[in-house]
Amino acid sequence: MASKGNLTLKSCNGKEFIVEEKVAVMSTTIKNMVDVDDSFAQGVIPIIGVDGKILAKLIEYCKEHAEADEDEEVKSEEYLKKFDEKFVDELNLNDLYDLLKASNYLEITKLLNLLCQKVASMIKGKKPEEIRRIFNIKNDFTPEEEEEINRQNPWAF
Amino acid sequence: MADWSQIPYDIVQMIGVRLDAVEDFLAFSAVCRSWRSIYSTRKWTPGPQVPWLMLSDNENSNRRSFFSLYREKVYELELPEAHGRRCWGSNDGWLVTIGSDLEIHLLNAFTRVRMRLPAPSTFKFLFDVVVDWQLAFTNPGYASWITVEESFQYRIMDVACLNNQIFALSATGTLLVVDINLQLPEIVHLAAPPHQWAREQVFLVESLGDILMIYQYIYVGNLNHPGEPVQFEVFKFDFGAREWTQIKDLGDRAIFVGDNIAMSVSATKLINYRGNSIYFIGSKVENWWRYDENFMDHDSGVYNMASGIVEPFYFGADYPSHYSCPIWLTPILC
Repeated sequence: MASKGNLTLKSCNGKEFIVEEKVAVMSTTIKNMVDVDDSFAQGVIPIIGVDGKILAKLIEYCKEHAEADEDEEVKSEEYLKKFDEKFVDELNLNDLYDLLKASNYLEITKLLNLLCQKVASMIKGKKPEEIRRIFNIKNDFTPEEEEEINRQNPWAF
Repeated sequence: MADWSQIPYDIVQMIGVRLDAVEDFLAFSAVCRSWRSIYSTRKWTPGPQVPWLMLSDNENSNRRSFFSLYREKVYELELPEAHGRRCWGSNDGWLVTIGSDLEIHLLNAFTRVRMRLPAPSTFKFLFDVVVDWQLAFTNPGYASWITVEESFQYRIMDVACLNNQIFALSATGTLLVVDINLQLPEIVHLAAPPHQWAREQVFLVESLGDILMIYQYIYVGNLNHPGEPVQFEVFKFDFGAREWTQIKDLGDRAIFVGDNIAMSVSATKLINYRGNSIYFIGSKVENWWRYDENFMDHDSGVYNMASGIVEPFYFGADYPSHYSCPIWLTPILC
Protein backbone atom coordinates (compact mmCIF):
# COMPACT_ATOMS: atom_id res chain seq x y z
CA MET A 1 0.00 0.00 0.00
CA ALA A 2 1.26 3.40 -0.98
CA SER A 3 2.16 5.97 1.63
CA LYS A 4 0.47 9.35 1.74
CA GLY A 5 1.05 11.41 -1.40
CA ASN A 6 1.78 8.30 -3.40
CA LEU A 7 -0.47 6.20 -5.62
CA THR A 8 -0.17 2.61 -6.70
CA LEU A 9 -0.74 1.89 -10.38
CA LYS A 10 -1.21 -1.67 -11.56
CA SER A 11 -0.63 -2.73 -15.15
CA CYS A 12 -2.83 -5.26 -16.94
CA ASN A 13 -0.15 -7.92 -16.48
CA GLY A 14 -0.03 -7.36 -12.72
CA LYS A 15 3.01 -5.14 -12.30
CA GLU A 16 2.64 -2.53 -9.60
CA PHE A 17 4.26 0.89 -9.58
CA ILE A 18 4.26 3.26 -6.65
CA VAL A 19 4.37 6.82 -7.95
CA GLU A 20 3.98 10.26 -6.51
CA GLU A 21 0.48 11.61 -6.89
CA LYS A 22 1.68 14.67 -8.84
CA VAL A 23 3.21 12.27 -11.40
CA ALA A 24 0.13 10.07 -11.68
CA VAL A 25 -2.29 12.97 -12.10
CA MET A 26 -0.51 14.11 -15.24
CA SER A 27 -3.06 11.65 -16.57
CA THR A 28 -6.46 13.34 -16.56
CA THR A 29 -8.12 9.94 -16.42
CA ILE A 30 -6.29 9.02 -13.20
CA LYS A 31 -6.85 12.48 -11.77
CA ASN A 32 -10.60 12.11 -12.30
CA MET A 33 -10.59 8.68 -10.69
CA VAL A 34 -8.76 9.97 -7.62
CA ASP A 35 -10.90 13.10 -7.37
CA VAL A 36 -14.17 11.22 -7.59
CA ASP A 37 -13.41 8.17 -5.51
CA ASP A 38 -11.13 8.46 -2.51
CA SER A 39 -10.66 4.70 -2.29
CA PHE A 40 -8.46 4.85 -5.40
CA ALA A 41 -6.08 7.14 -3.57
CA GLN A 42 -5.76 4.56 -0.80
CA GLY A 43 -5.73 1.36 -2.80
CA VAL A 44 -4.50 0.17 -6.15
CA ILE A 45 -5.49 1.82 -9.42
CA PRO A 46 -5.81 -0.70 -12.23
CA ILE A 47 -4.58 0.62 -15.58
CA ILE A 48 -6.62 -1.44 -17.99
CA GLY A 49 -5.06 -2.52 -21.25
CA VAL A 50 -1.61 -1.13 -20.49
CA ASP A 51 1.20 -3.59 -19.74
CA GLY A 52 4.09 -3.08 -17.34
CA LYS A 53 6.62 -2.10 -19.96
CA ILE A 54 4.42 0.66 -21.38
CA LEU A 55 3.27 1.81 -17.96
CA ALA A 56 6.92 2.19 -16.92
CA LYS A 57 7.52 4.35 -20.00
CA LEU A 58 4.48 6.49 -19.23
CA ILE A 59 5.66 6.99 -15.67
CA GLU A 60 9.15 7.90 -16.86
CA TYR A 61 7.66 10.60 -19.09
CA CYS A 62 5.20 11.93 -16.51
CA LYS A 63 7.87 12.04 -13.81
CA GLU A 64 10.14 14.31 -15.85
CA HIS A 65 7.28 16.62 -16.78
CA ALA A 66 5.74 16.76 -13.31
CA GLU A 67 9.12 17.66 -11.84
CA ALA A 68 9.66 20.30 -14.50
CA ASP A 69 6.26 21.81 -13.78
CA GLU A 70 7.24 22.06 -10.14
CA ASP A 71 10.74 23.44 -10.53
CA GLU A 72 11.67 25.08 -13.78
CA GLU A 73 15.21 25.75 -12.66
CA VAL A 74 16.19 22.14 -12.25
CA LYS A 75 14.43 21.02 -15.42
CA SER A 76 14.38 23.85 -17.91
CA GLU A 77 12.34 24.04 -21.06
CA GLU A 78 15.44 23.19 -23.01
CA TYR A 79 16.11 20.14 -20.88
CA LEU A 80 12.52 18.95 -21.41
CA LYS A 81 12.75 19.47 -25.14
CA LYS A 82 15.84 17.30 -25.28
CA PHE A 83 14.21 14.72 -23.05
CA ASP A 84 11.14 14.61 -25.30
CA GLU A 85 13.25 14.21 -28.41
CA LYS A 86 15.24 11.36 -26.93
CA PHE A 87 12.10 9.79 -25.53
CA VAL A 88 10.34 9.51 -28.90
CA ASP A 89 13.50 8.68 -30.85
CA GLU A 90 14.16 5.61 -28.77
CA LEU A 91 10.71 4.13 -29.30
CA ASN A 92 10.24 1.24 -31.66
CA LEU A 93 7.12 1.06 -33.77
CA ASN A 94 5.22 -1.22 -31.37
CA ASP A 95 5.98 0.90 -28.33
CA LEU A 96 5.02 4.04 -30.22
CA TYR A 97 1.68 2.46 -31.05
CA ASP A 98 1.04 1.20 -27.52
CA LEU A 99 2.03 4.53 -26.00
CA LEU A 100 -0.23 6.42 -28.39
CA LYS A 101 -3.20 4.32 -27.38
CA ALA A 102 -2.33 4.42 -23.70
CA SER A 103 -1.75 8.18 -23.57
CA ASN A 104 -5.04 8.67 -25.41
CA TYR A 105 -6.91 6.45 -22.95
CA LEU A 106 -5.18 7.96 -19.93
CA GLU A 107 -5.50 11.49 -21.35
CA ILE A 108 -1.88 12.50 -20.95
CA THR A 109 -2.29 15.40 -23.35
CA LYS A 110 1.32 16.55 -23.60
CA LEU A 111 2.57 13.09 -24.38
CA LEU A 112 -0.24 12.41 -26.83
CA ASN A 113 0.65 15.61 -28.71
CA LEU A 114 4.30 14.64 -28.74
CA LEU A 115 3.57 11.18 -30.11
CA CYS A 116 1.15 12.43 -32.77
CA GLN A 117 3.81 14.92 -33.85
CA LYS A 118 6.28 12.06 -34.12
CA VAL A 119 3.92 10.00 -36.29
CA ALA A 120 3.20 13.05 -38.46
CA SER A 121 6.93 13.62 -38.95
CA MET A 122 7.25 9.99 -40.12
CA ILE A 123 4.52 10.60 -42.70
CA LYS A 124 5.67 13.95 -44.11
CA GLY A 125 7.01 13.85 -47.62
CA LYS A 126 5.99 10.21 -48.22
CA LYS A 127 3.70 8.50 -50.67
CA PRO A 128 0.84 6.26 -49.47
CA GLU A 129 2.73 3.05 -50.31
CA GLU A 130 5.79 4.28 -48.42
CA ILE A 131 3.65 5.10 -45.39
CA ARG A 132 2.11 1.62 -45.55
CA ARG A 133 5.58 0.08 -45.60
CA ILE A 134 6.74 2.10 -42.58
CA PHE A 135 3.69 1.23 -40.47
CA ASN A 136 3.10 -2.29 -41.80
CA ILE A 137 -0.34 -1.43 -43.06
CA LYS A 138 -2.16 -3.50 -45.65
CA ASN A 139 -3.81 -1.66 -48.50
CA ASP A 140 -7.44 -2.62 -47.85
CA PHE A 141 -9.08 -0.46 -50.51
CA THR A 142 -11.04 -2.18 -53.23
CA PRO A 143 -9.92 -1.33 -56.77
CA GLU A 144 -13.08 0.79 -57.09
CA GLU A 145 -12.25 2.75 -53.93
CA GLU A 146 -8.70 3.24 -55.10
CA GLU A 147 -9.97 4.57 -58.38
CA GLU A 148 -12.28 6.96 -56.53
CA ILE A 149 -9.36 8.28 -54.46
CA ASN A 150 -7.35 8.89 -57.60
CA ARG A 151 -10.29 10.53 -59.26
CA GLN A 152 -10.81 12.97 -56.38
CA ASN A 153 -7.27 14.36 -56.43
CA PRO A 154 -5.54 12.82 -59.44
CA TRP A 155 -2.61 15.23 -59.28
CA ALA A 156 -1.59 14.09 -55.82
CA PHE A 157 -0.81 10.46 -56.66
CA MET B 1 2.22 -6.76 -33.54
CA ALA B 2 0.68 -3.30 -33.67
CA ASP B 3 -2.07 -2.81 -36.20
CA TRP B 4 -1.72 0.82 -37.18
CA SER B 5 -4.80 0.76 -39.36
CA GLN B 6 -6.81 0.32 -36.17
CA ILE B 7 -5.72 3.39 -34.23
CA PRO B 8 -8.73 5.25 -32.81
CA TYR B 9 -10.28 7.90 -35.02
CA ASP B 10 -9.47 10.78 -32.67
CA ILE B 11 -5.79 9.89 -32.92
CA VAL B 12 -6.02 9.71 -36.72
CA GLN B 13 -7.49 13.18 -36.60
CA MET B 14 -4.78 14.49 -34.27
CA ILE B 15 -2.11 13.19 -36.62
CA GLY B 16 -3.93 14.64 -39.62
CA VAL B 17 -4.00 18.20 -38.30
CA ARG B 18 -0.26 17.99 -37.75
CA LEU B 19 0.27 17.51 -41.47
CA ASP B 20 0.48 21.04 -42.76
CA ALA B 21 0.95 20.32 -46.44
CA VAL B 22 -1.99 19.26 -48.55
CA GLU B 23 0.18 16.63 -50.28
CA ASP B 24 0.95 14.98 -46.95
CA PHE B 25 -2.65 15.06 -45.86
CA LEU B 26 -3.82 13.43 -49.09
CA ALA B 27 -1.15 10.72 -48.92
CA PHE B 28 -2.01 10.04 -45.27
CA SER B 29 -5.71 9.75 -46.01
CA ALA B 30 -5.04 7.33 -48.89
CA VAL B 31 -3.20 4.74 -46.80
CA CYS B 32 -6.08 2.53 -45.70
CA ARG B 33 -9.83 2.57 -45.22
CA SER B 34 -9.87 3.55 -41.57
CA TRP B 35 -7.48 6.45 -42.14
CA ARG B 36 -9.55 7.50 -45.13
CA SER B 37 -12.37 8.51 -42.81
CA ILE B 38 -10.51 11.74 -42.09
CA TYR B 39 -10.76 12.70 -45.74
CA SER B 40 -14.45 11.91 -45.91
CA THR B 41 -15.28 14.05 -42.90
CA ARG B 42 -12.97 16.83 -44.17
CA LYS B 43 -11.92 17.47 -40.61
CA TRP B 44 -8.59 18.84 -41.65
CA THR B 45 -7.70 22.13 -40.05
CA PRO B 46 -3.97 22.37 -40.57
CA GLY B 47 -1.68 25.00 -39.16
CA PRO B 48 -0.11 27.68 -41.31
CA GLN B 49 0.66 26.56 -44.81
CA VAL B 50 3.00 27.83 -47.45
CA PRO B 51 0.91 28.96 -50.41
CA TRP B 52 1.18 27.41 -53.84
CA LEU B 53 1.87 29.36 -56.95
CA MET B 54 -0.92 29.03 -59.48
CA LEU B 55 0.76 29.46 -62.84
CA SER B 56 -0.57 31.34 -65.84
CA ASP B 57 -3.50 30.21 -67.91
CA ASN B 58 -2.71 28.10 -70.94
CA GLU B 59 -4.91 29.10 -73.83
CA ASN B 60 -5.22 25.55 -75.13
CA SER B 61 -5.92 23.69 -71.94
CA ASN B 62 -8.49 23.33 -69.20
CA ARG B 63 -5.73 22.22 -66.88
CA ARG B 64 -3.83 24.57 -64.65
CA SER B 65 -0.34 24.13 -63.27
CA PHE B 66 0.44 24.76 -59.63
CA PHE B 67 3.89 24.98 -58.12
CA SER B 68 4.33 23.66 -54.59
CA LEU B 69 7.30 25.23 -52.81
CA TYR B 70 7.10 22.48 -50.23
CA ARG B 71 7.66 19.63 -52.67
CA GLU B 72 9.32 21.83 -55.30
CA LYS B 73 7.05 20.23 -57.80
CA VAL B 74 4.54 21.32 -60.41
CA TYR B 75 1.09 19.71 -60.28
CA GLU B 76 -1.51 19.85 -62.99
CA LEU B 77 -5.09 20.23 -61.86
CA GLU B 78 -8.18 20.01 -64.00
CA LEU B 79 -9.71 23.46 -63.62
CA PRO B 80 -11.91 24.51 -66.53
CA GLU B 81 -13.73 26.96 -64.25
CA ALA B 82 -10.66 29.20 -64.20
CA HIS B 83 -9.81 28.87 -67.88
CA GLY B 84 -9.95 32.13 -69.80
CA ARG B 85 -10.81 34.09 -66.68
CA ARG B 86 -8.89 36.65 -64.67
CA CYS B 87 -8.10 35.17 -61.26
CA TRP B 88 -6.97 36.50 -57.92
CA GLY B 89 -5.59 34.28 -55.17
CA SER B 90 -6.06 34.18 -51.42
CA ASN B 91 -4.74 32.49 -48.31
CA ASP B 92 -7.87 30.46 -47.72
CA GLY B 93 -8.08 28.30 -50.83
CA TRP B 94 -10.49 30.52 -52.72
CA LEU B 95 -9.87 32.18 -56.03
CA VAL B 96 -11.87 35.10 -57.25
CA THR B 97 -12.52 34.69 -60.96
CA ILE B 98 -14.03 37.05 -63.46
CA GLY B 99 -14.58 36.49 -67.17
CA SER B 100 -15.54 38.53 -70.17
CA ASP B 101 -19.13 37.48 -69.34
CA LEU B 102 -18.65 39.69 -66.22
CA GLU B 103 -19.64 36.82 -63.98
CA ILE B 104 -17.71 36.75 -60.71
CA HIS B 105 -17.19 33.56 -58.77
CA LEU B 106 -15.42 32.31 -55.72
CA LEU B 107 -13.71 29.09 -56.77
CA ASN B 108 -11.90 26.54 -54.65
CA ALA B 109 -9.21 25.32 -57.02
CA PHE B 110 -8.77 22.06 -55.12
CA THR B 111 -12.35 20.92 -54.62
CA ARG B 112 -13.72 22.91 -57.58
CA VAL B 113 -16.57 24.13 -55.41
CA ARG B 114 -17.82 27.35 -56.94
CA MET B 115 -19.98 30.13 -55.53
CA ARG B 116 -21.41 32.87 -57.58
CA LEU B 117 -21.08 36.45 -56.43
CA PRO B 118 -23.50 39.14 -57.56
CA ALA B 119 -22.92 40.33 -61.09
CA PRO B 120 -20.96 43.56 -61.28
CA SER B 121 -23.54 44.95 -63.69
CA THR B 122 -25.11 46.48 -60.62
CA PHE B 123 -22.24 48.93 -60.87
CA LYS B 124 -22.50 51.22 -63.80
CA PHE B 125 -19.36 50.00 -65.48
CA LEU B 126 -17.17 47.25 -64.23
CA PHE B 127 -13.97 48.82 -65.39
CA ASP B 128 -14.75 52.07 -63.65
CA VAL B 129 -14.44 50.13 -60.48
CA VAL B 130 -11.08 48.71 -61.35
CA VAL B 131 -9.71 51.98 -62.66
CA ASP B 132 -11.11 54.13 -59.89
CA TRP B 133 -10.02 51.78 -57.12
CA GLN B 134 -13.27 52.08 -55.34
CA LEU B 135 -14.11 49.76 -52.50
CA ALA B 136 -17.13 47.49 -52.71
CA PHE B 137 -18.00 44.33 -50.86
CA THR B 138 -20.39 41.47 -51.07
CA ASN B 139 -21.10 37.97 -49.83
CA PRO B 140 -22.29 34.86 -51.64
CA GLY B 141 -26.03 35.22 -51.33
CA TYR B 142 -26.11 39.01 -51.45
CA ALA B 143 -28.17 40.35 -54.31
CA SER B 144 -25.60 42.96 -55.20
CA TRP B 145 -22.36 44.64 -54.28
CA ILE B 146 -22.37 47.34 -51.65
CA THR B 147 -20.17 50.22 -52.67
CA VAL B 148 -18.43 52.24 -50.02
CA GLU B 149 -19.32 55.56 -51.61
CA GLU B 150 -16.74 57.59 -49.75
CA SER B 151 -13.91 55.32 -50.93
CA PHE B 152 -14.08 56.87 -54.38
CA GLN B 153 -12.14 59.93 -53.29
CA TYR B 154 -9.34 57.88 -51.70
CA ARG B 155 -8.45 55.62 -54.61
CA ILE B 156 -8.04 52.51 -52.48
CA MET B 157 -4.88 50.58 -53.33
CA ASP B 158 -5.01 47.61 -51.01
CA VAL B 159 -6.99 46.23 -48.09
CA ALA B 160 -6.30 43.86 -45.21
CA CYS B 161 -8.57 42.32 -42.60
CA LEU B 162 -7.80 42.20 -38.90
CA ASN B 163 -10.24 41.44 -36.07
CA ASN B 164 -13.23 41.79 -38.41
CA GLN B 165 -12.13 45.26 -39.41
CA ILE B 166 -11.11 46.29 -42.88
CA PHE B 167 -7.97 48.36 -43.21
CA ALA B 168 -7.38 50.17 -46.46
CA LEU B 169 -4.58 52.13 -47.98
CA SER B 170 -5.33 55.22 -50.05
CA ALA B 171 -3.34 56.24 -53.10
CA THR B 172 -1.61 58.90 -51.04
CA GLY B 173 -0.63 56.40 -48.39
CA THR B 174 -3.19 57.19 -45.72
CA LEU B 175 -4.21 54.20 -43.63
CA LEU B 176 -7.97 54.02 -43.30
CA VAL B 177 -10.27 51.78 -41.36
CA VAL B 178 -13.56 50.95 -43.02
CA ASP B 179 -16.53 49.96 -40.93
CA ILE B 180 -18.80 47.93 -43.17
CA ASN B 181 -21.13 46.87 -40.40
CA LEU B 182 -22.93 50.19 -40.48
CA GLN B 183 -25.81 50.83 -42.78
CA LEU B 184 -23.76 53.50 -44.45
CA PRO B 185 -20.18 52.19 -44.37
CA GLU B 186 -17.86 54.66 -42.74
CA ILE B 187 -14.22 55.49 -43.37
CA VAL B 188 -11.99 56.72 -40.57
CA HIS B 189 -8.44 58.07 -41.04
CA LEU B 190 -5.88 56.25 -38.94
CA ALA B 191 -2.46 57.47 -39.99
CA ALA B 192 -0.32 59.20 -42.56
CA PRO B 193 2.27 57.16 -44.44
CA PRO B 194 5.79 56.78 -43.02
CA HIS B 195 8.55 59.25 -43.95
CA GLN B 196 8.56 58.47 -47.64
CA TRP B 197 5.70 57.23 -49.72
CA ALA B 198 6.50 54.65 -52.37
CA ARG B 199 3.87 54.94 -54.97
CA GLU B 200 5.10 52.14 -57.10
CA GLN B 201 4.08 48.94 -55.39
CA VAL B 202 2.58 48.80 -51.92
CA PHE B 203 0.94 45.97 -50.04
CA LEU B 204 -1.05 45.85 -46.86
CA VAL B 205 -1.04 42.56 -44.98
CA GLU B 206 -2.27 41.14 -41.71
CA SER B 207 0.44 39.18 -39.95
CA LEU B 208 0.23 37.66 -36.46
CA GLY B 209 -2.23 40.31 -35.36
CA ASP B 210 -0.17 43.13 -36.85
CA ILE B 211 -0.91 45.27 -39.86
CA LEU B 212 2.16 45.50 -42.05
CA MET B 213 2.78 47.71 -45.03
CA ILE B 214 5.29 46.58 -47.60
CA TYR B 215 7.01 48.77 -50.12
CA GLN B 216 8.38 46.99 -53.12
CA TYR B 217 10.98 48.74 -55.22
CA ILE B 218 11.36 47.21 -58.64
CA TYR B 219 14.45 47.91 -60.71
CA VAL B 220 14.05 44.98 -63.08
CA GLY B 221 15.42 45.98 -66.45
CA ASN B 222 16.95 49.16 -65.03
CA LEU B 223 20.58 48.85 -66.03
CA ASN B 224 21.58 51.95 -64.06
CA HIS B 225 20.54 50.42 -60.79
CA PRO B 226 23.33 48.61 -58.98
CA GLY B 227 22.52 45.73 -56.66
CA GLU B 228 19.39 43.66 -56.39
CA PRO B 229 16.64 44.21 -58.98
CA VAL B 230 13.95 44.10 -56.32
CA GLN B 231 14.06 45.51 -52.80
CA PHE B 232 11.60 45.79 -49.96
CA GLU B 233 10.85 47.85 -46.89
CA VAL B 234 8.44 46.71 -44.22
CA PHE B 235 6.53 48.89 -41.77
CA LYS B 236 4.43 47.81 -38.82
CA PHE B 237 1.49 49.85 -37.64
CA ASP B 238 1.66 50.86 -34.01
CA PHE B 239 -1.97 51.10 -32.92
CA GLY B 240 -1.08 52.90 -29.69
CA ALA B 241 0.99 55.68 -31.23
CA ARG B 242 -1.00 55.55 -34.47
CA GLU B 243 2.09 55.54 -36.59
CA TRP B 244 4.21 53.28 -38.76
CA THR B 245 7.58 51.96 -37.64
CA GLN B 246 9.99 50.33 -40.00
CA ILE B 247 10.95 46.78 -39.10
CA LYS B 248 14.06 45.01 -40.34
CA ASP B 249 13.34 41.60 -38.98
CA LEU B 250 10.27 39.47 -39.67
CA GLY B 251 11.28 36.70 -37.26
CA ASP B 252 10.07 33.35 -38.53
CA ARG B 253 7.47 35.02 -40.73
CA ALA B 254 7.60 34.86 -44.48
CA ILE B 255 5.49 37.17 -46.57
CA PHE B 256 4.23 36.29 -50.01
CA VAL B 257 3.45 39.15 -52.36
CA GLY B 258 2.18 39.15 -55.90
CA ASP B 259 -0.61 40.26 -58.13
CA ASN B 260 -2.31 42.68 -55.74
CA ILE B 261 -2.13 40.29 -52.85
CA ALA B 262 0.05 39.79 -49.83
CA MET B 263 -0.13 37.01 -47.27
CA SER B 264 1.92 36.13 -44.26
CA VAL B 265 2.93 32.70 -43.00
CA SER B 266 4.59 32.07 -39.69
CA ALA B 267 6.05 28.76 -38.66
CA THR B 268 9.46 27.29 -38.24
CA LYS B 269 8.37 23.71 -38.63
CA LEU B 270 7.48 24.03 -42.29
CA ILE B 271 9.86 22.39 -44.68
CA ASN B 272 11.39 24.19 -47.67
CA TYR B 273 10.41 27.55 -46.44
CA ARG B 274 12.54 30.43 -45.28
CA GLY B 275 11.51 32.77 -42.47
CA ASN B 276 12.43 36.46 -42.38
CA SER B 277 11.92 36.56 -46.14
CA ILE B 278 9.61 37.99 -48.73
CA TYR B 279 8.61 35.73 -51.60
CA PHE B 280 7.60 37.84 -54.55
CA ILE B 281 6.18 37.22 -57.95
CA GLY B 282 5.68 39.97 -60.46
CA SER B 283 2.47 40.69 -62.23
CA LYS B 284 3.80 43.00 -64.88
CA VAL B 285 3.95 41.16 -68.15
CA GLU B 286 6.52 43.60 -69.50
CA ASN B 287 8.98 42.36 -66.90
CA TRP B 288 8.75 38.81 -68.15
CA TRP B 289 10.08 39.22 -71.61
CA ARG B 290 13.62 38.05 -70.93
CA TYR B 291 12.48 35.21 -68.78
CA ASP B 292 13.73 32.42 -71.03
CA GLU B 293 17.13 33.97 -71.60
CA ASN B 294 18.09 34.96 -68.13
CA PHE B 295 16.25 33.72 -65.13
CA MET B 296 17.36 36.51 -62.82
CA ASP B 297 15.76 39.14 -64.97
CA HIS B 298 12.41 37.74 -64.25
CA ASP B 299 10.76 39.55 -61.35
CA SER B 300 10.30 36.72 -58.92
CA GLY B 301 12.44 35.52 -56.07
CA VAL B 302 12.96 35.34 -52.35
CA TYR B 303 14.15 38.52 -50.67
CA ASN B 304 16.13 37.93 -47.52
CA MET B 305 15.32 40.69 -45.00
CA ALA B 306 18.60 40.26 -43.13
CA SER B 307 20.97 40.36 -46.09
CA GLY B 308 18.88 42.28 -48.62
CA ILE B 309 19.80 39.65 -51.17
CA VAL B 310 17.36 38.12 -53.65
CA GLU B 311 17.57 34.43 -54.38
CA PRO B 312 15.67 32.88 -57.25
CA PHE B 313 13.08 30.19 -56.92
CA TYR B 314 12.45 28.17 -59.99
CA PHE B 315 9.00 26.95 -60.90
CA GLY B 316 9.44 25.93 -64.50
CA ALA B 317 8.21 27.43 -67.72
CA ASP B 318 5.36 29.87 -67.51
CA TYR B 319 3.76 32.11 -70.10
CA PRO B 320 1.80 34.97 -68.61
CA SER B 321 -0.63 36.94 -70.70
CA HIS B 322 -2.41 40.25 -70.33
CA TYR B 323 -5.05 38.69 -68.09
CA SER B 324 -3.18 35.88 -66.40
CA CYS B 325 0.03 35.70 -64.41
CA PRO B 326 1.20 33.46 -61.56
CA ILE B 327 -0.65 34.07 -58.29
CA TRP B 328 -0.36 32.83 -54.72
CA LEU B 329 -3.04 30.50 -53.45
CA THR B 330 -3.12 28.49 -50.24
CA PRO B 331 -4.54 25.01 -50.80
CA ILE B 332 -7.55 24.20 -48.62
CA LEU B 333 -9.74 21.15 -49.10
CA CYS B 334 -13.00 22.31 -47.61
